[in-house]
Amino acid sequence: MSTKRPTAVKATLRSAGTLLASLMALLALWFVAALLIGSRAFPSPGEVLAVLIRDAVSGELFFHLGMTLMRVAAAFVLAMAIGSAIGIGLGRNRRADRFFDPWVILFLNVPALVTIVLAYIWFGLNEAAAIGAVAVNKIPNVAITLREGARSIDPGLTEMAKVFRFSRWKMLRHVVMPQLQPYLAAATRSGIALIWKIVLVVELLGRSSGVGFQIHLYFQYFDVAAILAYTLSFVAVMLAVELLVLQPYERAARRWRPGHA
Amino acid sequence: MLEVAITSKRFTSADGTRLQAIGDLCFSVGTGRFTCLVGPSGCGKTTTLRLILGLDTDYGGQIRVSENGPTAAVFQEPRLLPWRTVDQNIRLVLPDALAGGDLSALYQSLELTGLENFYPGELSVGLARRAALARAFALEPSLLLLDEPFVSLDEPLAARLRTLLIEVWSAQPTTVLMVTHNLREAVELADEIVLMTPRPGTLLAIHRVDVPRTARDPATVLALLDDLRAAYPKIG
Repeated sequence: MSTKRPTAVKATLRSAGTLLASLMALLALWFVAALLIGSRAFPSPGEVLAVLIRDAVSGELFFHLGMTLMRVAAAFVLAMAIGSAIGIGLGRNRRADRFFDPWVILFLNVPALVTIVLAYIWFGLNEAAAIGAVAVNKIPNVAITLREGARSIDPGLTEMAKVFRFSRWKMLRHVVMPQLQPYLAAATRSGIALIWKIVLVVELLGRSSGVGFQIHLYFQYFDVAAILAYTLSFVAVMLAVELLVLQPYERAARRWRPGHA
Repeated sequence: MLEVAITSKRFTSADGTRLQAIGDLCFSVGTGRFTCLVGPSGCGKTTTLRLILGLDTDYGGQIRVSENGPTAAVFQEPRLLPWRTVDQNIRLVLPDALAGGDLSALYQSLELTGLENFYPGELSVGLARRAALARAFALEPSLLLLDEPFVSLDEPLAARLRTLLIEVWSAQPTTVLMVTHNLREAVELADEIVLMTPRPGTLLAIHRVDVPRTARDPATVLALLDDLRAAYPKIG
């Protein structure tokens, strides 16, 4: 096992190197484009950086990033927990699945904006309504992914566990969860990307903090540099989550597969 | 002691057709006895094992297992957890008190030494089958059910594993029921051979092998096999 660790580190470094080169190219392209256009509505990387530094020094940037990240995390945990429970339930019970399938499709197709507006009308302009609305938007996605996962559970292994009298905990940890892991990973991936975008809309419509609120504020001044500064810094936060949390976790979870490197 | 008294087992296919898999099947395996269940392909041998294991409860009749210790099974496929190593797979079935114990002697006898930290996907079919046998043996079960455990292994290895099975079985009181379509294997190993008819599987005969196991050299086995075929020409 110890021989596998250096390769994992090397793989992380290599993917980080490719990422850096790719981002530098994009930055260069932006710089040239801003130079050519030369408008206040299309600021250069330098101007965006200046806003970034200004708000970082005042602490405002970190407060709003923190608020948005808190909402993303809360909505994510809520959506994954409820969505997984519904998805696994539907995947294991064919009759329930047939009955509730139209509901899932309905909720899957309700626009995020409608859920948010209704949540604010019904429950007031508060944090619970905001986070709840985001979670409700994501739950059907998680449910259909985990429903697929529950359907793919190998009955042969379940029978083996039954014959050898695995406890519920042993069964969950060693038999069920490893089979659901790829589906949980897929739901997490698409979930985080979707949730943070919806959180911005929720903040724009009914919160007085967070990246979405700031973007709305600077929209009123047509201050594109500030809008980009907030957007990019939050994208950077999400990229860090992806690189430092999601990818290493997935690599660890995949190590039993032959030819996983 | 294992007492099987199945009166009927039916399957319903997707289009609603009902198929009788097993008819009247009555036999028992005394505590510490080694019994083989033999019959043509598709006669319901595996289904019988599944009923005994409690994996299917929809049948007519009664099955009674009166054993004090745990039950272990070796399925036709290895059924190892692909995301756990060989060693983890085996220790997972053990009660907590035994899970930390020394298994090196078992690994050695099954020629699994050095493969403990491999994942099942990295093993050949033959090695995976041996790991599945090791899992069943490690539990030291009082009832052991095996479903064609030596099929698809090369003959020298199958012969060694048969010897090992007998060693494990002699070392501690284990009630064994082994499904096989290999009559020769049954004659080599069993105290009693339960013969089944083609589908719907019913009891054809229960044949006792009275020659002591130590005296079953190749020539004796062949002679016993001839006797058995002469007595029940239908089994071929």
